[in-house]
Amino acid sequence: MNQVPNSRHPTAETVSLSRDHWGRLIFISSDGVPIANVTLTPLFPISEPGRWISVTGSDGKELVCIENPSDHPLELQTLLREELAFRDFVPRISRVLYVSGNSEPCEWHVQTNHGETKFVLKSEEDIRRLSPYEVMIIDSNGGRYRIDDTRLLDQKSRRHIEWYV
Amino acid sequence: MSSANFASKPDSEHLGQLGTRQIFAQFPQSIQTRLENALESEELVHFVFEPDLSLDLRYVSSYVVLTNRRILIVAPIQYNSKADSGRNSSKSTGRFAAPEHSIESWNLQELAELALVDRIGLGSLELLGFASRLSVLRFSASRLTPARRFVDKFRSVKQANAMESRARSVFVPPAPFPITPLEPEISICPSCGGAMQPGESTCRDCAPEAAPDTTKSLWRLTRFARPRMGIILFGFAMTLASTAIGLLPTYLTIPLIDDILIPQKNFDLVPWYIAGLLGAAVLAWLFTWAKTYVLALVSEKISADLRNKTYEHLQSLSLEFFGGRRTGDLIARVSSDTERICDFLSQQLLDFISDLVMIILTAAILISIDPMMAAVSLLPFPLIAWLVQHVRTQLRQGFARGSAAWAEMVNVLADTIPGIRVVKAFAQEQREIDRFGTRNQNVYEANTRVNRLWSAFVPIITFLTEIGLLIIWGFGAYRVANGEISVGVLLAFVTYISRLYVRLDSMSRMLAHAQRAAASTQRIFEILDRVPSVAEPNKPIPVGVTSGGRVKGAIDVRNVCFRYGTRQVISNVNLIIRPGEMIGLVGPSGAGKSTFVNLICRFYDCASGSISVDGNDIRSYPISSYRSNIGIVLQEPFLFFGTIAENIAYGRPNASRADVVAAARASRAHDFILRLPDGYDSLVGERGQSLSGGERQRISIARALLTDPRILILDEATSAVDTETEREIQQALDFLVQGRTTIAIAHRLSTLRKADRIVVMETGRITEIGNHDELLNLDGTYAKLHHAQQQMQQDTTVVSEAVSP
Repeated sequence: MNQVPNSRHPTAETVSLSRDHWGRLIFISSDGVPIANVTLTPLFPISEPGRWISVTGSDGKELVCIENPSDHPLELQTLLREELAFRDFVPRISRVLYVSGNSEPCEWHVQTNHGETKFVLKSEEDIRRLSPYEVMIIDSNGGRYRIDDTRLLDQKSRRHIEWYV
Repeated sequence: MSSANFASKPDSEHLGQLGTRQIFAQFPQSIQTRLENALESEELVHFVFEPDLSLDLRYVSSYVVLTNRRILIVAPIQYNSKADSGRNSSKSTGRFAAPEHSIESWNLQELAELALVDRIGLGSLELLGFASRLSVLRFSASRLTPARRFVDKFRSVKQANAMESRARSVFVPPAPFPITPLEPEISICPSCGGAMQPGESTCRDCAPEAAPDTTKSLWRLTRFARPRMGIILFGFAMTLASTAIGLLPTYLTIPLIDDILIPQKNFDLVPWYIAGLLGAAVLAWLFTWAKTYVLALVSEKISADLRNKTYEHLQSLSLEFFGGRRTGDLIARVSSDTERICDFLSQQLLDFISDLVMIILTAAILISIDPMMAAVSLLPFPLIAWLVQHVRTQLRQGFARGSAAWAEMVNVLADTIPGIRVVKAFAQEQREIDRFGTRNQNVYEANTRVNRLWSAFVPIITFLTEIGLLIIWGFGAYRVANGEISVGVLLAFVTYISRLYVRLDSMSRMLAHAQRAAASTQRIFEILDRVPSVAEPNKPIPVGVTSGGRVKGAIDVRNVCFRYGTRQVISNVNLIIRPGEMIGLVGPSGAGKSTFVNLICRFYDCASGSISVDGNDIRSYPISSYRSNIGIVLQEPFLFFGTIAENIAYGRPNASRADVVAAARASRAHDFILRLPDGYDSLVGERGQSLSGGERQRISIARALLTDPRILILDEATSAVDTETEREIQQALDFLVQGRTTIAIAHRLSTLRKADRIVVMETGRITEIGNHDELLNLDGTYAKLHHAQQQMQQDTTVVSEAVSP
């Protein structure tokens, strides 16, 4: 892939990103122009959420792409982590407490690392297997839940999940 | 050249080496003697061709024999009455006694050439002399291939003779007209896309043939069973054991009744008998369990193999095969037909075998107890067997019809569900409902026909069973009264026989399943028997040895012809493309542009001529490593179900994320991917995120870019999108074509502004080649197209803005 240009997307170069008083993200471009209200978009939010962070302006155009945050100063890493935590709210399900039925839509009551919650599962396609033991659930509102390792669930919870995947 | 790719034809090639007697052996006796008498001493028969029509086009067999000296025609008298009078004609005189045939012959020196004329459905073979036409033979299309072989054979014999004569300096008169070589004949079958052998007018698979017995196709499954013979034999042993054990309890009841219950003594033995019965039951349970599990396991394995094999074979078949077939039908073959076979193998066949074992064992036991009783009680058996055999044929047809009707119905679904937008847009829902309803009615009717037969069949068997039991009761009672057998024996007979008839009933039920499974097997073997039209070379040349499997991309197309069935699609195309050159391919629809690029991709092989890449014929490269050098962007990009990243990396699944993102950036797909909720992890394809045509196209460009192809094919890549999107795609494409040999098919000439040369194709030929200015000066087809499109651009300012460079 040597002929694909990469030069206009500095990766490990210094990326100047900061938060202003209103909590907005400010990006300062290489020629020193500050651009306010930028957003962070992970390119691979599911398969590799911690890397490949795209910084986009309010027009949706990419300003810079941070391929590997750990190449950057600690302050930036912290900033990214904090910002992405809001962007990527994906509770981890540790236990399925109750499922209303075997046919969709059905209501699920689950125990997550953010506490107990319930959601409605619209269709069976909304439960996706990401890797052999990793599962992602999307509820009727587009909210996301994950199970990092189905083997760690108790038998009853696992049976509910395995009904789908 | 290309025929090297095909298996050599076994029959006619070495027919000449076979003895004359062997060749004649296939003809009627009268013809045989006639021919043998007509031959001179040391005259060698090379080939016999059998035209099947007379001159007035009635079906009559005649025989045309090519020897090393002559051509002899053996024909019924009336057939030759209208023909030119042959000089050597000896009409049923002297030793040629049989009155109905005549023999004519010509020396090879008299014959200048054989001409083959192929009209649709009717062919004629003309024997041309040096001054006139000597004779004509007519035949139907089915004889076209042998006729061609006959002509080939004639030419080679003639040539051999000429060389011999020259060696002996005998004068050979020159042919009075130029001899045109026969056209190269390898072609693609228009109905299935399989390879057609030289000279075939329909491919072997599609040629209508008398359908072979479907039951035979079941035997072909043994090919898949062979690797698992060990476990099958084990399962079979279990079947035998469980059946034998199952017969034991009834046998034990004989002494129980005769020695204990009737004399009313020895009751202390009862627990022993009960223990024996219990033991038999436990053993029967264990053995049955083992046999069912083992054999079900094997049959599941076999059908999984069958599915894999079928799918694998499907993947190797040419594009045309899929073009000519309905998707629904193919899906049904791979999925439900294999499932049906599995059901048959794991349940019905298993039951059948154990029933058969049971019947044989029961018969053996009955005969050993009392041969006389056995003979009487087994009396109705042949009757039932005959009935089964009779119904068998009708059921077979019924099920085949039912399965065809079912496939038709599924086809409607496969057709209309993807096309639902069109259906709704034209408000044709009711019509589609009716269409489905009609097919469904066909399924209903076909199945009803089978059911009607079936419903009559089963009660008859039950009735015969009852009759059989009555006979035993009557005959048994008579013999008990005479003291010839004991009550225990009679009861054992009744028990055995009633179980036997029940089994026979289930055996006959298995028959229907067998027919159904056989029909399914046949449908699967129809796919498996198909020869892929593009064959792997026998001695492959590795692709780009010095450059890590990459070609440089110099394409040399020489004298390429391609026939699609009988239609000539490409004729005599010559084109040399330099590495890295961009060729624009324009021309009206149906000019053969897509076929031309398909030939370059080796989706088919050309009938004659050759296509070389980097100096080697593409047929000498291993197919997949050659194709890995080619990237294609189609008019309708296809996305598989999966994430965007997976779709981009389709041609190079191990590509790193950096490569995927870089390819997406280069193809201008990055920005819109960024806006999707899951970025590169968003699901697309049939059940996934809906993307616009331009977005899908950019993903497919990224896909092509990621494989870094040396040869790039753009088949109307921008014609399905709006002008603004086209501009974006064009930017992506401009980047993609850099440094690659590119062939771009386009209707919009503006998309070819970067092309080094533009090739105009019309009706399968190249009519103009040159760059934009040269072609404009030529004032031909290209110039006309250009002016017409410019006119359109002036009419619409938006368009002209969008496409001007």
